[in-house]
Amino acid sequence: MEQLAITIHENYLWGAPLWAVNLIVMFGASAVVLMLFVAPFAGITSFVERRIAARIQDRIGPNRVGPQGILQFLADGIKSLMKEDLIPTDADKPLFILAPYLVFLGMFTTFVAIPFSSKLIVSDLNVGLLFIFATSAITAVGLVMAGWGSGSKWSMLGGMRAAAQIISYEIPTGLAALCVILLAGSLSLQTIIAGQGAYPWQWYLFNNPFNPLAFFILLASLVAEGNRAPFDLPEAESELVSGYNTEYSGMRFLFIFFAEWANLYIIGALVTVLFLGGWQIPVGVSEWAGGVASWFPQVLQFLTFFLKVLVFVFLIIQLRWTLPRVRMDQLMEICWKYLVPVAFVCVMGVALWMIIWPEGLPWMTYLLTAVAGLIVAYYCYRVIWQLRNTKATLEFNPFV
Amino acid sequence: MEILNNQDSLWYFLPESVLILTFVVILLFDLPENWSKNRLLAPIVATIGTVLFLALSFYTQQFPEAITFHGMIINDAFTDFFRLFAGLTALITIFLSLKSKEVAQVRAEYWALLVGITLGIPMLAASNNLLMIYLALELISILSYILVGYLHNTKTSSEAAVKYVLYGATASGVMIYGLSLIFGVTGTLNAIEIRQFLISNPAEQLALFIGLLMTLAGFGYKISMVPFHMWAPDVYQGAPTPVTAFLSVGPKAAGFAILLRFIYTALTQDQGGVYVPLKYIDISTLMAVFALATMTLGNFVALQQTNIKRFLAYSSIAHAGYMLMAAAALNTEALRGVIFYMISYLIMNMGAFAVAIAVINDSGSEELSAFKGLGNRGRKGALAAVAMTLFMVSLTGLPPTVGFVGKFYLFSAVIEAKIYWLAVLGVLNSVVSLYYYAKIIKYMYFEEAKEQKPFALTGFSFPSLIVGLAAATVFFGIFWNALSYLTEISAHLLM
Amino acid sequence: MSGFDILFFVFAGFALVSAMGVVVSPNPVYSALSLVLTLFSVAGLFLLLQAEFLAVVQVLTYAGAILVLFVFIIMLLNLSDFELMEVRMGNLGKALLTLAAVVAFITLAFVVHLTRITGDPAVEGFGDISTLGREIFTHYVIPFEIAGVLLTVSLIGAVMLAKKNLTKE
Repeated sequence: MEQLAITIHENYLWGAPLWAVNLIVMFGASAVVLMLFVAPFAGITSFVERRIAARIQDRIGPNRVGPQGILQFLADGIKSLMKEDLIPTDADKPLFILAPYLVFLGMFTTFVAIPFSSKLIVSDLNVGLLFIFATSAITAVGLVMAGWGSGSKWSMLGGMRAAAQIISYEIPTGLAALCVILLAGSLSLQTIIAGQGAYPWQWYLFNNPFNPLAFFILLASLVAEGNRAPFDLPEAESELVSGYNTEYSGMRFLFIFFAEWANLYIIGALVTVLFLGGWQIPVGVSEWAGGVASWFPQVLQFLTFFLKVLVFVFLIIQLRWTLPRVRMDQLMEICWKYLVPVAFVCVMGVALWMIIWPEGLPWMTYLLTAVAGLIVAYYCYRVIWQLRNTKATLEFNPFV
Repeated sequence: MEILNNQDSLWYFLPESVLILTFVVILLFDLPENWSKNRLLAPIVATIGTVLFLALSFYTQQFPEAITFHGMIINDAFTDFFRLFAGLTALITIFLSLKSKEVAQVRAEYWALLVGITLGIPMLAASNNLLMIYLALELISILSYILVGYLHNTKTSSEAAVKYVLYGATASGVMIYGLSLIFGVTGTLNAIEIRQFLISNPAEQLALFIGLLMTLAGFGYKISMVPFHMWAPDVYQGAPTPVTAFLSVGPKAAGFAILLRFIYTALTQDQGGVYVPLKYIDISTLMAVFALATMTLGNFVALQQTNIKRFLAYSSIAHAGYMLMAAAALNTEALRGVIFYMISYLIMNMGAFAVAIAVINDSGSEELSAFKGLGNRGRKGALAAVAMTLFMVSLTGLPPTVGFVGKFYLFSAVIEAKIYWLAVLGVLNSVVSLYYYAKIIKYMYFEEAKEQKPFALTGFSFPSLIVGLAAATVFFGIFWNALSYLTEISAHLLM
Repeated sequence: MSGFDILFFVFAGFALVSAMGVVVSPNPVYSALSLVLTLFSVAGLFLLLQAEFLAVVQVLTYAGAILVLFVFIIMLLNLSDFELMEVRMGNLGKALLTLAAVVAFITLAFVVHLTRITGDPAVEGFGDISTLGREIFTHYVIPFEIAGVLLTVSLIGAVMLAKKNLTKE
């Protein structure tokens, strides 16, 4: 990024000072990431989620706008833009207006530190992981602000729940991530990925028996932090109408929802980076294609990363539409009585493991990989078996 | 002078580790349901832990003096003394808490928190690093807030806790700003290195002086030094009486310990028993003014108190003023004097509070009038009255009690330092205090009680504690050699 | 003036203005939110000093802390009775207090300005998490552990104070 700025500074904009060019390049890069990647991703995810939900509930879902309804998100966006901008009379106006931006800001700043391939990253911060946690904490402030600023009891209850939930689940998240930080010895996401390999048995997930546990904890608490089902208490529609976003409409509503879907990508990316080897592709492939830095391995890396993230995006969507919502007390119980203590055990376990077997234990790794493979295979078998039993036709067209 | 690394330092940290362990064990023992029903279990564990702490303090006391944990903590005779002091105070407080009706229903956490404060006292007294000072001070402060507000179904207790928190937060905020200024000027957090910096850099720095004043606000708050004393009467009145007793002795002594250690270590230079203030900071006069203001205000406001706890609060402010004279005198005699004074204050103040608890248990009233006619209410009443008389005489500083010897040591140190005006005004202050201490004695013997029933002071252990403390007051007032020896070996700062 | 300077003034300005907002805002919710802004601006200042870890931790901790504060404000204060919270004080008192605060501020600023800051420049790798970790677990291990004890103890105390019916079996 800096080199880009220096190049532009030297070759094109003779008059402008370097820092200004730097600033412009930074803003430019953020805008590009935002416009070209995050926005379409969030939009299409919203469409995909609706279709999957429809399939699970034996409905059809949006299929009118564009082929198979894929342009539905654009239509929704335009509709939201043209809606009347409503601000309730009881609302605390400045907070009400500001809140969606904070939510948005917290979610999208995260993309600064998330890598897409070994070269494609806005900034490889040396505190990258903490940076991501910190910026998602800003989201929480936004949510509470939205809840309080709306001046409605549903919103306020939703905001309070969001605060309690996000603060509580930050702890298991951090602890579970600590298991990997111990192994990688760094908070930089690129370094963490570089410590892993392309094949499953080179991932941190199977490094030791504690890491799969930590992986589960991380996934669960990230889902909870993102206010997704089965932990979507702050916007539980059966009790709170829609929680903190009850009073929002039009573009402001879209901002909050946009952030939520973008968050799906962040959850997937974090899990992938920490446990599933990130963008790693086999060394042979990149050598064959002329070194890591050339375009083909980069594209391959990006696709690998993206695919892994998509698996989790689908998993979380499936979770949302198949699992019942937990109760508030259960939510807290899960966090404080199960996830946090187990996460502590994991951290201590990983630390001990690193002392006893600094080089790792190959047979354990292979065993864990095999078990995980079996689980995944059984999952696929069950899905096929279910579909066959219900006499549904299995077509490789997700838009049916 | 030896600076030990972490592993070697662990042995020195053994007594404090035991306290941390006790804290955890009390909480763990409270978990099983049928164990937590036993009200005596937690105080017993706390007592065992404290006794073990005392025993280990005697063990570590044999080690050579050393600066431990890379210069964070100093283990010298002064530290050893405060370990002893904290342990004794904690033991007496545990006993008083068991006997007081106010805290009869407490849960295990109460005892755990008491142990926690006991941990903070020697930590604070031993701190050699600004960071450590702040942390230990906060450890004591936060636990004190919680204990003061322990009876949160009573209004006064909650009010006291809130006041305490607000004053405390402000004071520690000011203090940490001051510490940061000191760090900015000297570039180090280590008190010994601060002195070395001051010696080698004679240039005057206004920021250092202001930083020092702000730091004094934090210390002064802990020891209820005027003008940072405002919280004391309300907090002492609102807190459960055993907690008040503990606060007026333990944390206060810790505050004095760190004040003296900081002033003696960082701001003065040892020249054969006389500590000469460094350069442009005339800490001696500054502290003398504070001492005079504190004792005068404490004594004069105490004259008009009608509540026993407020009364003892102002009395303790006045005593803080006397002890502050040690920070003004700046010589080894002053250190010895203040250590002796602390022991005597522990005995007589705890004794006064023990009798006060007995009276509050009996009458349910905290007014001074509850003491009326105590001397004529049966054998137990006479006993309590005699003991209280001794404590009052001792608090005034009259022979043949331990309070007299303590005051004697302190005043002679002040005269040694040639601050005559302070000595004269201090003695005059003691005369003033005679008036209100004598008022209690007058109440007990020359006034009629409201109801002439025998004084309820049942059991064997509580009366014997009172008698024991009263006996100690007189015994050490006559044979002070043993204590004098203890102060002699304890008045040594490693710097 | 370099970009560094401009960013410094932006962050410092935000910090000052929002800190002012914490104090003068009549609405406690706004005070809390101004505090967020203050702390985040300070995090920005840390970032300019290349203490990335400190900056990020500042945001991470204080976002959570302010949330708790926010929840407390909402729960403990009757939000319709804001006027009750105003300090009953005459204009003269207010003016005097403001004057005192301004004088104190100018004095402090003056003092800090005069101070020659001594001490070594930051060590190589300052702000780097491994350097920080090594330092915490060697030279500063005892403050670190005592801070742990302090936090545990405060947590227990807070739970104890918050618990209702303490005396009931």
